[in-house]
Amino acid sequence: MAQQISDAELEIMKVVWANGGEPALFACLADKLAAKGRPWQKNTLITLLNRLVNKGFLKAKKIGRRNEYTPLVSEAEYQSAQTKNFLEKIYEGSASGLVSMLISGDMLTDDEYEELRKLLEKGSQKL
Amino acid sequence: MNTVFKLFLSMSFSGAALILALLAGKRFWRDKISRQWQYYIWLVVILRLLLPFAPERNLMATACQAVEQALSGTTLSVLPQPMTDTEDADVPVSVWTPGSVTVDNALQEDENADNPAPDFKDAAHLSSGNENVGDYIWLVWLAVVSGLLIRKITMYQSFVRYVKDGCSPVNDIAMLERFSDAATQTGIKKPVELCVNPLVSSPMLIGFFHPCIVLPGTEISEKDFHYIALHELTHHKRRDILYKWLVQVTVCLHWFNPMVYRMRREITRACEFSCDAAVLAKVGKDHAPEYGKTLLDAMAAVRTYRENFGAVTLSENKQLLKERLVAVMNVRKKSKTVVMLTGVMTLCLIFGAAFMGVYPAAAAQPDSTKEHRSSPAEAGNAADNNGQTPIALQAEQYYEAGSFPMFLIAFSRMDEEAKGAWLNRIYADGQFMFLGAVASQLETDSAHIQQIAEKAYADDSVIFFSVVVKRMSEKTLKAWLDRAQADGKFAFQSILFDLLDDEKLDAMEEELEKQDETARKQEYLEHGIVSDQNLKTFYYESQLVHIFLDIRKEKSFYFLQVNPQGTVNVKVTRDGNNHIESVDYMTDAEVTALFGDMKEEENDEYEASAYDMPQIISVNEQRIAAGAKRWFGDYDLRSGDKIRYDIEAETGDAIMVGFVNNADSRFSDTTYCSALVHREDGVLKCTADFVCGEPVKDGQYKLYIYAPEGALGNVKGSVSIAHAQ
Repeated sequence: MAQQISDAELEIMKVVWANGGEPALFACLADKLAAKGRPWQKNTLITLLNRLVNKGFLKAKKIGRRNEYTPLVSEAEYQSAQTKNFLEKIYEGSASGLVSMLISGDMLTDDEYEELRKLLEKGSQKL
Repeated sequence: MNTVFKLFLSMSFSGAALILALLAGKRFWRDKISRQWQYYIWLVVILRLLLPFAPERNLMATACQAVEQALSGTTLSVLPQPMTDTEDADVPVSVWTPGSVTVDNALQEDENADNPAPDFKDAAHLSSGNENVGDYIWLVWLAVVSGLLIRKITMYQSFVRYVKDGCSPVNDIAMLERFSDAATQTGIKKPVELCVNPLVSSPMLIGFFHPCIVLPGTEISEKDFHYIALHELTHHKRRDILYKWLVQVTVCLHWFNPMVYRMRREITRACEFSCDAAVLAKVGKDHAPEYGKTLLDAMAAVRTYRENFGAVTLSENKQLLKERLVAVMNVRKKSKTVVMLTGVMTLCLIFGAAFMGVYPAAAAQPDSTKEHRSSPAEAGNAADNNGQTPIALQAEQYYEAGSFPMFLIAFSRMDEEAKGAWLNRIYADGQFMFLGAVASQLETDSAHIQQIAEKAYADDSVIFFSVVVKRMSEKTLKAWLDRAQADGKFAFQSILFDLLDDEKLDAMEEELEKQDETARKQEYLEHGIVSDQNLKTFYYESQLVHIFLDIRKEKSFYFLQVNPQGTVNVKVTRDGNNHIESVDYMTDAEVTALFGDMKEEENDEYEASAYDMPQIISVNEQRIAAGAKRWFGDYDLRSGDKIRYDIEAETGDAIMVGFVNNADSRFSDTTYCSALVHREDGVLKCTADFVCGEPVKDGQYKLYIYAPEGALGNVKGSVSIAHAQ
């Protein structure tokens, strides 16, 4: 999971993940992307999908003349890897640094803060 | 010799003849026929070079007959003999040799052209005597082929690796969308990858199965990107990489054939030309100027990795680029006639390819010997029944197709009457290139030569006259000279003087030139051009002339004088009687068209004109002992003088070149303009430029070469001093 993906590629991955791990047909992906306001041309989409396949994020399977794409990396896996990467890069691996920034920077709504607090308590009960 | 190898040699020969034919024809059709055709027609040649067989079996027999007809009667009677002598052995040698002779003739315009029989015998002897050497040669050929192929492939791989390593995919979605637009416009279904690599200097297409267009950077305007994408995608669509590799493989296989290298160069050019034409056909002619500008911009960067074969780049080199720009501006729709003509020419060439390849191919197969034996009789019959018809027909075809070598073969087999008729036709058509080729086949001072000379002389056609005088004896030349002098025809006289090597005549020529100059000076004066005594400086309408050009009607003879100080460009046009018709200022376009190539040299001249002719001191010393200095004379140096060292030593580690102002003073104290160079990468070479100035005071200096670390061996080169004016 060392590979980074571009913003456009991430958009495609989000559509694939939204399919719930099920294989997605090319036409279906194109439609969903268009619905999200990204009416890309066929060639552009194929190029981007090929790049994702080469990076190991997707698996392509030919069914007749149609291509079917299955995610090899789940959304959670991607998020956790990206977060780790982000922590390493910005906070030198310190998660508390990140949390304190979220709180002191006023980036959390009250509800989110509550949720986070509950999560932390649950975690300490487990220990 | 190995039969397969011989077959291969014959393929190489017929391929070379086809290449010659195409090259000769190029000047006639360059701007007239579609660029696509000019590109793909080479495929016929490549197939000829690669495929040993003719398309149809029965064509072989016909072709054999045709060729044997083309050989003279004497050859025919000789032909069967070596065949029976060496019945089991390699018959083909004797058969393909005449073919090779004709090719040589076409190349060198050999005087023996009308009599290939002796060569043919010699060659037959040689080849049968050197059977073992033949085997050896075959192995050498194979070794070189594999060596070249391996080198080509490894170099290509390393090139692709070099490009791919530094590649990053383009993530800009807007650019990718525009790229898709271009792909749709080009009609490409399978998407092509788009990458950026700052290490490449111009956009290129690499990879055949996984095509990828590599850009040097993403900071290009939308328009430029569109054109670049269209150009490279068109290369991909047309499978140009495959074509290029086909050419490379052909060159590797025929490495001994000088013509294939010429062909490779032509194809590279034709590839870019036709790709430009294809792009412009798609986007419309109005885009030509903008497309041309993109080509220029792409060229602004210099390539960093030299070996770019196998990849299709947007800009192959500068000279080619210039021609492409001109071609780009001249794109126009081809008329119906041209399209038809193209079709006919293609057929001619394919027929020619089959015809030429078949003859040796058939010969190289021992079982075809029987066909051969019967063919002389048939050929004889054909010749008896129907004198010139087949040859005349062939000649007609080759003439139309502009194919010198094949036309020559046919011409040499014609009778005198037919030759005369052809000469008249060539003359009437103004095909002096053909006349030049054909003249070599005519006997010295023959009636034909005299006839053409008379005609050319009467028509004042200097160019035709200059062709036929090459086939005249000294006596005839002198007779012509007397006549030209009596008639006062200067142009003809100067041609004849050049050919006659005689001291007395040289003096006469000088005298004549003077007369001519005086006459011309007078003539110019009558048309408002004032010139100095030596016709070096011209004034027109009280302005100093920069470029002065005087062209004869048929453009065969011109007088050109350039004066860097001049401000106007003047052109003198003459009518058919060689009288001045008009004097005009040249347009910028004319200047560029005529002197575009010379511009750079001219600039050098301007620069050089600030200096006197440089003084060259040549250095050639076998040995300079360690610590010794060698002196090379005294020179006056003044501020502003230019000094250039260009000295190389074969052995030794370091060399020092410089000047001292007094030989008696200590070395280290007063050395000027000195350069100390150490051996680098195995080369010890001192090249340096200096312009005299502080601390070099005006005065006399001594030039020295010094060996500071160990002795120097074989010191060679030159020092040049250009004194400032």
